Formats: sequence, structure tokens, C-alpha cells
Amino acid sequence: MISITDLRASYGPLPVLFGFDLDVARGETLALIGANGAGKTTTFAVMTGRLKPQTGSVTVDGRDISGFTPMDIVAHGLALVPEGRQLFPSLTVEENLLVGAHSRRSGGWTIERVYEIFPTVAEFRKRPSMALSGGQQQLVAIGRALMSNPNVLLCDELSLGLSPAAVDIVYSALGKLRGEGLTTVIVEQDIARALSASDRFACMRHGQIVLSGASQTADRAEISNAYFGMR
Amino acid sequence: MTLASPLARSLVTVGLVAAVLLAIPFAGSRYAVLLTTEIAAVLSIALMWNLLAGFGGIVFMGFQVFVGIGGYTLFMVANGLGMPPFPFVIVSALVCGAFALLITPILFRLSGAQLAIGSWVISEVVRLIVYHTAVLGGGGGVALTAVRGIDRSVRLFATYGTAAIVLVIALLTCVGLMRGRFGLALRAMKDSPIAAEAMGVTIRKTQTYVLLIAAAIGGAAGACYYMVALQVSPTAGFSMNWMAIILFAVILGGIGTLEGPIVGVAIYFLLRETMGNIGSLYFIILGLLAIGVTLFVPGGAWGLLKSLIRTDLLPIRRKMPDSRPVV
Amino acid sequence: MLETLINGALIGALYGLYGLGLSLCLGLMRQINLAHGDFIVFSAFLALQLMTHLGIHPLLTLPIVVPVMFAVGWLLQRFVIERTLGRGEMPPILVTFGLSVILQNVMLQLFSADTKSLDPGALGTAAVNIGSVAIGVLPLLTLAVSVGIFALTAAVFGGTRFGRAVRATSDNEAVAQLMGIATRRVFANAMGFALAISAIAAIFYGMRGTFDPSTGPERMLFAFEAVILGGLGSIWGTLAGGIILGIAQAAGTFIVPSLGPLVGHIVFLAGLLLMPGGLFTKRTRA
Repeated sequence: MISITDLRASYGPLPVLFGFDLDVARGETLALIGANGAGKTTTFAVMTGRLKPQTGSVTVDGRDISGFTPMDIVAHGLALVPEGRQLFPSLTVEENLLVGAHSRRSGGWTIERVYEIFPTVAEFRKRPSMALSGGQQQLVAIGRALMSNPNVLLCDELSLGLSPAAVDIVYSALGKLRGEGLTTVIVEQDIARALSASDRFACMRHGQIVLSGASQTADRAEISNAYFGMR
Repeated sequence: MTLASPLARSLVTVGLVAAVLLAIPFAGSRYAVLLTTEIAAVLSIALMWNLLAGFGGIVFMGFQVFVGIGGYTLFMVANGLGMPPFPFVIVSALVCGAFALLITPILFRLSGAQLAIGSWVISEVVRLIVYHTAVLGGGGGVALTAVRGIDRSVRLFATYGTAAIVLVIALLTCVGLMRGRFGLALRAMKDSPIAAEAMGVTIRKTQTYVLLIAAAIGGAAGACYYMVALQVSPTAGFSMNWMAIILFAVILGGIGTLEGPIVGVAIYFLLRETMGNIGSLYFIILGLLAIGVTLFVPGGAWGLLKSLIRTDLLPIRRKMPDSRPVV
Repeated sequence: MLETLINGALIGALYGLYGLGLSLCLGLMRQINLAHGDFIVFSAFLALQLMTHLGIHPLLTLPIVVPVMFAVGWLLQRFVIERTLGRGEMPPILVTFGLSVILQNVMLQLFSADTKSLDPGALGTAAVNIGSVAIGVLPLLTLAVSVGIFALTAAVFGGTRFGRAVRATSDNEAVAQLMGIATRRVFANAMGFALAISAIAAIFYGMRGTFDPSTGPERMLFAFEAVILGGLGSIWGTLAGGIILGIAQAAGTFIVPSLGPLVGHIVFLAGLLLMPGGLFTKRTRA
């Protein structure tokens, strides 16, 4: 579904991604793990059109999207749940969800369906979005992404800034989506969470993939070494 | 590029300006003296607005209120006492400073663009009050009767001298403030009020200080300007044209730098002296220039010059003790 | 006295309309436009030209002036104001101030400094009696139009896909783009809307009073006062702010005929001191 080939990217003069390959199969959930600065969010930035790569390509469903603008990205079926939620403060919960559907892509997701799988969100639908707790905001952010009927869901640091209880709620919500056939990539610093929520994982360090494999059978020690760069 | 210390370079520039100011009365014509008086006053005002906005982060769109109050104060006090007006620019400065202090509670309810327009409203209030106050001459304004009986040459040079002193004070103030602890606090505050607050800088207090100083010296300069004009009225003294002149000069010169206003005022007067009598077309051109410079040459003329010469005349940036580029 | 105050409230409806365009600009899009008042005057001159050359009633110029000013606003946002964004608060202030000066002087060159007005014909003198007071039909019409436009604006920006897109863009442009919102086009449309509203206000302004190239800045100040008194970010608040301003000014003229604007300014400053957030504070930021 997603095929990243030899991706290199820089922020101005500072190179961040040093050329790596990554494949994500259709319907699969991949966990992209790694320490701060490893290049995970940069990878998302390239995938969502915020950053143009120097070389390499990102192919989604056969289409190279690496040159697209953010506005075209959603039209091609990618939706991002941004780091830090980034809900729109001036809009209510419901309005945030409705904005998610701005691109008018066809598909099975409607606001009623979002309310169905996230009942707590439904309860707060008329409230200003920032009045909700961090965990609830995260659910709204996921719902907002779903409203664009994506084929690919990108989740950036879902657990950031949330209490363990809230993270539980968020990841169980994510679990509900596993059966939907979405191709999902989650960026996550919490290794345990990442592994339990995904089918496969890829560990990044210094802008490259240093280890990958199936999440179920992952060797924690091996991952720690790869994560921190110890041999 | 590095001669003596940055402070020395600044003082050299101020010294240069002072030297020019000293030379003009001996070397120049009467018209030159008159024009330089006007330039000195306008430059002082521009420097003070630039201090407030470029370094302090307060865009005070109603700055003419201090020019007008300065002018009126001088006239009323000098006329009232029947004495030569020249020393009373000090009173103008004090009254303007007091007025600035008075408006801070209201002014600081706003920020950014809203503060800009709010300051404009305050200026309008003063203008309208003066307009409707018979004691202050109402709509017709006031003439500087205090200079009657003073020999014309004496008046010319005394006004010139006063304006020159105010300008040197303005320049030294800018240099001094920007280099001291005060200056760093100001720039930190402008770049990030949250960060500055965290460092223990009391934003309001610092902003108030800057406003007081800018108002006082701006008021003194306004007083000088109207000593030349010999007549002040609400329409002139509190006119939005002052903001237009200040903004054009500061934009064209380069906002936020110290040398910018000097270059900008020079350009403004150059254009005026060569083009001034084509009426509203002149303002259209100025407006287009201002927009063009803001959009495409944000550093202004000084920014351009600097990149050619690669030096700061009045450097206000501190060097880190051991600065080496981090790879 | 009552009649004066009622008339004050009615002219306040017009001030509210001045403010609405600015409210969209300042409150919704978080942008400044110091040339706001000058665009109002420009619209009035445009209407005057149409009236002179086509011999039509001021109200009939609306179908032409409104779309033209929408286009002007669109172009203004897309090609001028856009370029000033992202570099701090100064460039937009400076550029729109420059625009203000240019507009005033262009109008001066084209139309001279003479005061003008848009002759409303019979509409200007017609009056109705409500109780013991006589109220002009034109002021009442202004009120009706103003309320109608406020309602339309509130509906558009509060409840439509476009309105949500504008608000989302002004909150967080990057994420808005990820929703598929063409942020620059959306803002251009919003600005067009703001100037179109100002154009309507201009026609009623011209019918009620006089204008000349220099009267723009004062319109902007009234607009600003209406917006801040009502509370930045609240659309209906701007109407309330405008009405308060109108009443304050009317009270001023009661004391001394030319004292109206001054009393309005003082009431504004007092309001700012006592109620910094305005009547209806709304905007939340992250």
C-alpha cells in the first residue's frame, strides 16, 4: 500500500533522513519507533506534503505523493492525527469533526459513525474543543482524521502528554479501528504500546531504519539496542 | 570590520552627527539652518517611534499626540510667562512623559494591532479636546507670541541649537538604552514576551519606561518643530501626517535598527525637497515605496547598505563571549 | 432627547456594519487592515460615479459595487496582505497603512477634496411616526439591512462549510491544509466578503451623510470601536458595540453639535478600561 524508497530529506541545511526504504502492506498497522530526532516526525512531514524530499519517493496505492501539497494529500486518502492533537480551538468538537470532512471524500465514515465508536466524543459534541481533556481531544483528533474517509491513517505520538489511563482509552479506540481495513502508521515513543498496537514495527535512528520485524515476536532487548544505538 | 569596540563605533557616529550639527550654522545658508532644524526635529521623533516599535514592540500609531502636546505645552508656557521659549522644551518633555504615564492603564489593555489603533483613538481624543478648548486657541490654534521681540537671527540659531541638542540626546538615549541591561530586556521582551517574563523581566514596567522616554523626547522634538513653524493648531499638531512621515522614514530606512531612521529621514527630506510640490502624487509614490520596501526589501535602505558595507555603524548586537558556529 | 438617542441607535446600526467588515478581518482572520475605512469611502465614490453616469438611485448601484468590492478584497488578500503574513505584527500594519495613504491620495487626485453624498431622493426625507417620535425611513431601512447582513454573516461563518474553513484556517493554517482546505483561497474569499459588506455600508453612509477622500480613517476608528466594545470575535457583539457607539455620539451632539465623535471615543476608552474583553468575549486560543 505504502512504499517508501530511498528517502532523503533536510530541514534547510540540516539533513534528517539519510535514505531508507519502508513498505507497509494494505490493512497493516506499522509502528514507527525511535528516539527524539530519529526522523519519525520528519517522515510524516514528507508523507503529508509539509516537506519536500531531496531524493526518493513515497508511493501510496501506486501514486508517488512525495511532491504533493498538504491539501492534495487528503484527496489521495491520507489523513494525519497530528502530534499534540492540534484541534481547532475556535471550533466545537462537532465542528472539528465536520472540518475533517471538508475534502468531501466518499466513504463509510460519517459523523454518526464516529459518535458511535467514540461515545464520549458524542457527549461533548457541542463543547469548545479545548474544553475537553487531553485523552478526549485525542479521540476527537482521530475522529477528525477518519471523517476524510482515508485509506491511510497516520498517527503522530498519540500518547504524548497523556496520563496512562487516557493512553489506554486512546489505544483501545485505535484497536476498534483495526478491523476496518485501514492502513495505519503510528509514530510512538512508548515502545510497549507501539508493539502491542501494531502488526509490524520499524525502528529509526539517525534518519534510517535500523531494525524492523513483526511486533508479536519482537525481541525487546534487540529493539532497545537499535533504539539507543548500542551494540 | 571590527575596529574599536562596538560602543566606540556608536559614539563615533553620534559624534559625526554632532559635528555636522555644529558645522551647519557656520557653513550653511539660513535656509540650510532652518531645514536642518526641521530635519533634526523629525529625526528625533522618528528615532523615538522606532525605539518604541522596533525595539520595544509597541506600534504606537497615535504618536503625533506627543508631538502636539509638546508643541502646545511650549507655546502655552512660553506665551504665558512671556519669556523666550527655548528652555521650555524641557517642560514639553515632562508633560508628555506624564501624559504617557496617564494613558498606560488604558493602552496596555490592548496589544499588537489593537494597541496601534487604540493609541490612534487616544490621539484623536486629545485633538478633539484641544479643538474645542477656547483657552488653547480652539480650531485656529496658537501663535508663538513669546518670540516677538527676539532678533530673527538669534531666534533662528537658538531654535537650531535646541533642536540639535534634542537630537543628540535622542541618539545617545537610543545607543545607551539599547546597549545596557534595559536594552537586552527590551529585545527579549519583543521577541518573546513569555520567555522574557520567565526571565524575570517585568514586561509592563519595561514597556512603560520606553513609552515615557519616547514620549518625553518626542514631545521635546515636537516643541522644537513648532518653534520653527511659529504656529500650532490641532489639525497640524495632531495630524495623522506625522505618522505617515514617521512610518515612511522608518520603513524606507529600515525598521528596528538604529541607523535606519537616520537614513530614512534623509531619504524622506531628499524626496521632499526634490519632488515636494507635485501634491498628492508625492504621497502616492511614498505609499507605493513604503509598501514595496516592506514587502520586498524588509531591511530598508540601511539594510541594503549594510549588506554592501558589511558593518554596523551603531552596533547594538552583543557578541556571545565565545561564539563559534555549532556544527 | 429620546429622538436623538433613537437616531443614535439607528446610526449605530451603520457603525456596526462598518465594524462587521473589520470584525471579520481582525476577529476572525486575525488580520489588520488600516485601510478599512478608506475602502468604505472608495466604495462610496464608486457608487457616486455609477450614479452620475447611469443616472440611477444609490441603492441600484449595490448590484455593481458589491461584486466589484468583493473582487477588490479578494485581490487585496491574495496578492498584498498574504505577502505580509508570517513576519510579525509590523508588516501588515505598515502595508495597509501605506495602502490607506495611497487610496486617500488617489481619490483626491481623481475626485478632488470636495465633500460629496449619494442623493437618496425621496427616501431621504420620508419618515414614520412611532409613538411620539418621528423616525426617518432611511435610518430604519439601514437598521433592517444591517441586522439582515449580520444574520447572514453569522450564519455563513458560524454554520457553513466555508465558515468553518475560515475559522479553522485562522486557528491553525498548517492543520487546516491537511483537512484539504485551500487556505489562501478561503481567506481571499473571506476578505472579499468583508469588503463587500463594507461596500453596502458605504452606500448607506453616502445616503445619510457626506464623504470626501479624507473621511476614511474616522470610519475605521468607529469600526474598530464597535468591534472592541462588542467583544473581539463576536459577530453580533459588533452590532451591539456599534449601537452603543451611536448612542454615545448622539448624546455628545446633544451637548455640543460637534462633540459627537469625541464622546464616542471617550465612551470607547472607558469601556476598554472597565470591560477589557468587550461585551461578548468569545475567542479561545490554544
